Amino acid sequence: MGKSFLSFAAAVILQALDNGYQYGFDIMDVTGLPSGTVYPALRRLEDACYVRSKWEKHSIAQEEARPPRKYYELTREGRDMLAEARSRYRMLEQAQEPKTDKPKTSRA
Amino acid sequence: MQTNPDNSTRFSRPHLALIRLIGVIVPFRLRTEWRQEWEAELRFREQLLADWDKLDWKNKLDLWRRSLGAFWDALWLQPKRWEDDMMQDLRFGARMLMKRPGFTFVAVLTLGLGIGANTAIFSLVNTVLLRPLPIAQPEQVVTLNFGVPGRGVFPLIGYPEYTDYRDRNQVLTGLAAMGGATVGLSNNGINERISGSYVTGNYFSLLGVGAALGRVITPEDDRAVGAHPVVVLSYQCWQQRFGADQQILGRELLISGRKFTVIGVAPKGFRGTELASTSELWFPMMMKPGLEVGRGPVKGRTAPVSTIGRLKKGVSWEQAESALNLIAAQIAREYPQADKGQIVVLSQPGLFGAAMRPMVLRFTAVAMGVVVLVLLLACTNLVNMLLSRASERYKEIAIRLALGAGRVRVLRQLLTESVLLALLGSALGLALAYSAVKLVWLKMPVIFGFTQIELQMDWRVLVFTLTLSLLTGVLLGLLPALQATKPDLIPALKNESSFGGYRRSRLRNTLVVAQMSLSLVLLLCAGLVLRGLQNAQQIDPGFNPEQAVEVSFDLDVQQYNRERGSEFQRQVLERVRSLPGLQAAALTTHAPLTSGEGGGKGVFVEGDEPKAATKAPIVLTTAISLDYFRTMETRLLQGRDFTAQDTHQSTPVAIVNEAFVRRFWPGENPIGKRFSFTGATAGNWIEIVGIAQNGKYSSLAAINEPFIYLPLAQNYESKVTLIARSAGDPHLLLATLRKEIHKLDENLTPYDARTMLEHLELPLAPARTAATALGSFGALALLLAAIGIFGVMSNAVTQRTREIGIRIALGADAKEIVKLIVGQGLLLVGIGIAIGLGMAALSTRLLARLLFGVSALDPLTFVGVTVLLAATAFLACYLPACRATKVDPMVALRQD
Repeated sequence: MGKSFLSFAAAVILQALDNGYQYGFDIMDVTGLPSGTVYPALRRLEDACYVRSKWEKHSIAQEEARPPRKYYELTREGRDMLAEARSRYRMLEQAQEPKTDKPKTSRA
Repeated sequence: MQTNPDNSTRFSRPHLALIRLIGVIVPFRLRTEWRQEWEAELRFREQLLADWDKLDWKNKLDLWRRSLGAFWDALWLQPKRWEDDMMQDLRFGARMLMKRPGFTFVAVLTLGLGIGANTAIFSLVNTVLLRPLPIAQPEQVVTLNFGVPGRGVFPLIGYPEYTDYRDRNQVLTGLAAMGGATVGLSNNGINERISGSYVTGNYFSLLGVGAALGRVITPEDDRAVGAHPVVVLSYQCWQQRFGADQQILGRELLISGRKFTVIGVAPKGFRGTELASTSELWFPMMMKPGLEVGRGPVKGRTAPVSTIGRLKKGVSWEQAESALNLIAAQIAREYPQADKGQIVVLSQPGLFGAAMRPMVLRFTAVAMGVVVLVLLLACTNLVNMLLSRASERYKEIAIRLALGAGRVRVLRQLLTESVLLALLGSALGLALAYSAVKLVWLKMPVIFGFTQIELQMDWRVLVFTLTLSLLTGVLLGLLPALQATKPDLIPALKNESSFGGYRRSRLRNTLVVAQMSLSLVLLLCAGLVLRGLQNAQQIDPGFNPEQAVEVSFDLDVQQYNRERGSEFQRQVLERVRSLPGLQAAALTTHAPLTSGEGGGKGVFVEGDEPKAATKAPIVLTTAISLDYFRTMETRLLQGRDFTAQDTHQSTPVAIVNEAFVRRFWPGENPIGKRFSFTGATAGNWIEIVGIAQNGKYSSLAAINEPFIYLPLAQNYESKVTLIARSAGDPHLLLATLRKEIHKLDENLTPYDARTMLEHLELPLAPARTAATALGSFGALALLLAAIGIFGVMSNAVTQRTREIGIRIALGADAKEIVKLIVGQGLLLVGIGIAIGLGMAALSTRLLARLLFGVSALDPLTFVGVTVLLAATAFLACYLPACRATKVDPMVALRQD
């Protein structure tokens, strides 16, 4: 996939991942993007190898009596891509603020 | 990873249940992980917030919203299906089809023809029977039919009686009336005859039809006789005749010599409530008297109108009908002379009340039956082809099964292939049907007398075609697929050619037999209709159509009154008769065999006991000028012709035909006897002065119809047909006639100018359509059957190669081999023919109306068609048999 693939939403998601928001719902909260955008974007990013997903350790999940969650990490390519995208999309700063409990509502 | 929430939690929490549900559409390969990811996130979120039970509704709602988002996610995953089994099957199927382009081509073409024929006929059914009228809540709208038990009902009634029903009933929210009329529209110096309707003021509001421009006719427009000369144009009329002129409102139009103000344009698609007689103009009913063209008022009564009503909410069809019949009984008590015994029958609007529906139903049922038969045939053939293909792929399938593929999986794959074929076929079929429908409707505007009916391919047609093709696909594929997936693995894998075997070939044989019988039925029907047409050419219509021409004109369009009209008609005849080379010319109000031209009147014979008007037998009549019989070359058998002395001051006279005499005075001399149209007591007696030979009047198939000729001088009508006979070129004569009429009145537009031979073709149009359709479907069927037999026999030869080789090695000569193979084929053909003949004997009587006197079991047709079919079948068997004789015993015995 070419570079043009990286939409603003995708760049925002990469940025969120870079800042430590690793779960789908967390990304939704911090970016304000709806799940119908976040998840498909995550899958496309994964297909393009900018992101990889892993399942949380079973033991952790069991302790909290819930199924294991899937978390996403940036790959090296993803980091490069983000750096490039950052220079293009200045508004990414919105997603750059440190994690707080309050979800933001900065919909693109 | 496997820790799914237990079921109790899942179902007590709606958002989790939702995830399960949405998961169904996620491609199977990804489903488990997808569900788990979403469940885990939701559950985590839930825990973060609190326990579910303690959550406030806001947070619950938020969780809901989030889980709904999963739907979009799932949708985005759809392209991943490409890797799913289904896509695999599709791709594999497409590859298999492309690998055998010949087979695919034949299959798609066959299916295309079959499905196309069905789609075309269905779009007709859709238009005339299924598609609702473009009015508000069409299911509440009914047409009232009136009649006498046992005599049939008709959707017409006198205007005064209509008002009785309108005002007395409690079951309809309203009852509107309309009366069709042909009017002359003068526009830019051109006078055209177009169809319009006089409608009551409540017509548009009752139907819930508004105006696209301006306003529609309201009750105010319809209060006083002749007070509101206003007109509403149909959308089509506005577009085509007035170029969608936005300034049309308020414009004055000259219609049949009177000025009308345009007040509005009806919405697009609305052309009145009758499919068969669409309107271009609507006038208030109160404008009707004096304006009506052609059929003047029935003597002593206002011209009849048709009615349409809307049922009140909660009133059922039956309740409304019985309530209206109570009113009918009331009216009958008040006017016993006119309305005794009258009943009301409700019917759906659109097809002339109850009058036309049965005929349309019969026609469409036969047509639909034929095309379904053709499709079945096409399917049978393809099943055969697929069976033989399955036999080629026997080994492939056996290997797959041996490697552990489930039977269902393999079945699915095979079915996908056949459904793919059917879908391709239906795409072709849709295209074919679309062009066929266009073509047929351009070339043959008269089948039911429909004028402007538009066949449209709407969503119903598409759904029909799609369903049909899916059904076809499954039907096609199931049998071969079931057969193919049930092999004995061992011999298949050992490459033994024991494939086929007894049962398999028995199935294929059955199909061939079915095919033979179906194509025989179709061809027999086509043959019978053709024979009927041939017969129709031989029917004596009671006049000589050779060298005669006709042209019609309507003086009401130009606002002639009776005196001026009679004078004009006299002048036309005078001018025409003086033309060089002209042998004879005459006028008639109803030329024989003109569709939809009635002229029927109730006859009361002098001396009979008095009876109600509704009980009088209806006899067709026409009014004729002098010289009519000489012009038509109809023989007068007895008595005298009309003379110039028969005027409206002299005794009313009539000439009747033989059938009339036989009906009313069998065995007596009718000359001098009297009858009346207005009732036995009225005393308007008409004296019979002559007897003419029998002829055909309403249809070529009718036998012994009574008929009455009246002198035009005593029975003026504004709409007449000029008939002329000359020795020269009839088409030249037609041009001259039109010129002569034009010279007398340049604003009068003659219409229906044609030779009498062309005129005679019109009543044959339905039979010709049927013959063309049945003939082409029959030929297609024969071709399909021949291919089918050929395929089966070729296969049989291949299977029996070894046996044939042994026979040849043992000394059998070519003749014996041919006999062996052909004999096997002809046995199937024979069984097929026997079944087909039986089926045909049962079904051809459905065609009775199209046969014009030919028996539904006409031996000549039955023998002829059977021989044709047998000969074709023989050829299809003979070719593989010839191949069998070329089997080299050495090669055959070494095989496998």
